[in-house]
Amino acid sequence: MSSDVLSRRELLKGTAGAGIASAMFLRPWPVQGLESGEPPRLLPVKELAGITARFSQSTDRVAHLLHRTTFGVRPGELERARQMGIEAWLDEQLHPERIDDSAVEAQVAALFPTLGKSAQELYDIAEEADDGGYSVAMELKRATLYRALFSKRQLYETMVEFWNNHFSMYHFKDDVAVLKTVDDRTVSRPLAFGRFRDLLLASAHSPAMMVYLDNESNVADGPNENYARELMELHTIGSDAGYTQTDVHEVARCLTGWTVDYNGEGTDGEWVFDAGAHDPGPKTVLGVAIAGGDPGALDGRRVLETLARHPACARFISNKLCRRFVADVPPPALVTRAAATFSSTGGDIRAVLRTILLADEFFAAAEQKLRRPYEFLVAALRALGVTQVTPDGLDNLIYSLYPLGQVPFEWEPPNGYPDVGAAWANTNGLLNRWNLASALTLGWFGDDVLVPVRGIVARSGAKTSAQLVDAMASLFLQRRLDEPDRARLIDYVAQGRPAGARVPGWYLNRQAPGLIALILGSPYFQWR
Amino acid sequence: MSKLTRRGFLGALGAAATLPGWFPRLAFAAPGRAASQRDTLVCIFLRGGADGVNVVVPFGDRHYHDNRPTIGIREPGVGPDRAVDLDGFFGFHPSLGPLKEVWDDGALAVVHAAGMPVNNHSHFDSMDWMERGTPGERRVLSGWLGRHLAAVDAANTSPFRAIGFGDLVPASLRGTIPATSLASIADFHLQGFEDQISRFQGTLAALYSGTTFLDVQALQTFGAVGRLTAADPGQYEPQHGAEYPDTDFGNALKQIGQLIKADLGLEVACVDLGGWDMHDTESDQMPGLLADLGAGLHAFYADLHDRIGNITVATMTEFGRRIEENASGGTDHGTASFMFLMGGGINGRKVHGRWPTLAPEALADPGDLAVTTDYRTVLGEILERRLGNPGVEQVFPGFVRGSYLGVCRE
Repeated sequence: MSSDVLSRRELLKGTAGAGIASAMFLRPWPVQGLESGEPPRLLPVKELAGITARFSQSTDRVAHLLHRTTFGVRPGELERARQMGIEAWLDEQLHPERIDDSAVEAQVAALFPTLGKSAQELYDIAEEADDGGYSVAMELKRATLYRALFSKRQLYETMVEFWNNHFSMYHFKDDVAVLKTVDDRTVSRPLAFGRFRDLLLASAHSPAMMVYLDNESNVADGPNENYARELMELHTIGSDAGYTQTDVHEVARCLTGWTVDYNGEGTDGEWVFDAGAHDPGPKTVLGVAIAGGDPGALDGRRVLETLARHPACARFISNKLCRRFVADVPPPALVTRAAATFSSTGGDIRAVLRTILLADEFFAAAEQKLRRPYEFLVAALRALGVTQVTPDGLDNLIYSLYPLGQVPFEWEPPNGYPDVGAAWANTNGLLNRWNLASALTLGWFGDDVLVPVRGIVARSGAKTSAQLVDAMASLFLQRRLDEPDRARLIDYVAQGRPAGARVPGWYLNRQAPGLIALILGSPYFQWR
Repeated sequence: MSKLTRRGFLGALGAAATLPGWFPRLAFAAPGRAASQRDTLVCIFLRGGADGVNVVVPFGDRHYHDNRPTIGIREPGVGPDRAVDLDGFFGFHPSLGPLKEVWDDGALAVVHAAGMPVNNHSHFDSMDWMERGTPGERRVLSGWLGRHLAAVDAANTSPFRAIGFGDLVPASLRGTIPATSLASIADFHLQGFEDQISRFQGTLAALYSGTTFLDVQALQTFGAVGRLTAADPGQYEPQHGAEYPDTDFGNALKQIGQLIKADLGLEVACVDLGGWDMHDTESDQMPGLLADLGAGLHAFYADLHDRIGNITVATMTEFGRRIEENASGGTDHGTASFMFLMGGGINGRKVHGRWPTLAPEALADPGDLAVTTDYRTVLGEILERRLGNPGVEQVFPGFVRGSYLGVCRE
């Protein structure tokens, strides 16, 4: 097995410059240190402008819940959630199998055929295309964006994104380009609301992860520590959990021989245990003795079970979920309760989410979460009521995210895209959000992304500048504007006319793209 | 390793990393220095933990090749893939060939076995500590460059005083002085229909008139856009035949050169170059990355030569790699690594610092190059002697430094 891998490596050395690809294609490792470990680090209020509430009126509880648990509020969804009530709506979202999403899934299957393919089939497609797996990777990005845009299972899609970012991989490191499609289908999606232990085990058996963090070449004779270290630091217990370099090395030894099959017999790209590469000796991990001598992959499984059961893991995952859904600096008491739920339920993600999303701290945490660029784009498209996007349109939307710095599966280091506002609130980010907002409302994506601005204006029934501003604020923000901001936007639309004066439809149609872009670009819309 | 040939990726990229044969030789007089002006500092963070001993190779250390039987760089000599001799003991990786000219020019120095005194081998903790300037602890919330900026010259209110090149602002720039992040000078303007853009911008600015961090960043954005529009940097032609590699890194350095020449008040610029986390196939990955680094620095030096007396470039990385290679043809996380220092005020053509040797008893746990120079000693000297900061102890709180190495001139 490992000789197959080695011979492939030898082969590559002969390919001119092949080795450069992975290094050259990597984007820089951007800003770090904002969210590793515990305790969460508060931005310096003294040293930076303080995080204070900007708006005099906050959103109501239902709108708050939708903002945090969906990729953005489509027209009509708020009213539906209000009728159902918070608990019922959340319960439905926590059980995606009860939501009929068959139309979207049928479209996904038709539009993105590689999503259901085996690793071997994907390799064959990539070799046929001779594009290094690029088209396979792009199809997963397209499908991911498509589901975020159109799926009714919004909390589910949000959690799929959470886990894909938790077990983050860079799409263009070697064969991750093809294998991530399998990982998405077999790890994040089926287990998004499952038990954390199962998710962790699935990820550890994911060929994409083996490739991304180099465990595929982790062998007894000179272990590769990459996966072992990030497994503890980023996937389970965090760097403050008190483990040592020796623990990292011992975990790596336990995982020797966990690799990817490349036997050329039709199962390329499958996870496989290579007993010949496994270190069978005794090990000690976090004080737990592992006798060794097992003929299978038992040592590694014991390590994963130990990590998933570790109290630091309950706290680490709960803290991260609270940071995702509640605040950049999660309320410690809520993290403690979520971790207690995690421990008492054996890591039941759904139960932990219920603890978090029905907590008082959750509803009290308005203006605590900044939309990241991807969420900004999807929320804008959903609020705009976009229903028609071609595959080219999806590509163009994905390309539009590059200047903003968040493209699905393209964060190179293994800690995933940061999920704190300070990482994203910068000049490059804001300028590109504003420009993207204008590009959408001015129709610069053409027929590939149909943005129905005129339809929005017509449906609003607005006859005056003030009515248009109020209707757009309600549609895009699900809230009222502070009066000075409302006056500014009315002034932008009215251009000197009285706010309440009846104006012709063509005039509102002409002003609407700028108005909507201003609302999408405003501080209001940047909050999740 | 990889099943795919990745030919599709390579077309555009392979060429960019290699210098053309006709690359202009440098032939300049030693640059002068305008003493009144503080240096512009360009900080390059090599993300991922760069393997210092395969970048600046201690071929004279007899333990080097014992530990690197397959990925070691051969000592200088006749033939390809040999280290480029610097002083009879150290040599550049062959892909850094272009930098030898800057070295010979006296404007490039190495500090070897540099790093932090605390190490848990975590990328994310190590980058975090290094950028805060407080290894091992997180109580100080701003970054070391942020504190430097706060300590000197409050009169410079330019939005281009501090630049983070790329999508995000590096943690080292966190602090009271807002930094501007930008990825492309050419695209750094507000888009929209021309007849509506000024009203649009006026309304948008009014919507961001609060005091949250979003409002602060918006204000910074409008300021930077306005300043850049007024300066109208236009098409940029690098000087002295400098050829920047057409990579993210090369384009970042080129645009920093453009900003420096536009005299926009740039004091500190940060650039990242990632891809150093070479747990496997290091021999395949290292040449392209080093070619990018070397060609970029070489072009920057040539392009900015008329001003190089007031420019200092410093590289850093969160840690080095394990000295013994692993069975994947790579190296795991280690401790000390190297720093490059480039500029007119650098005491160049020298490997600074004490070499701890690679003898087994000299290695740091669990088999790493030991740190003999705290990176803050190097940066402190640069801040004090080149950037006019008399209060370096505030930049690195709690750090009791030893004597400076003499990496730069007063």
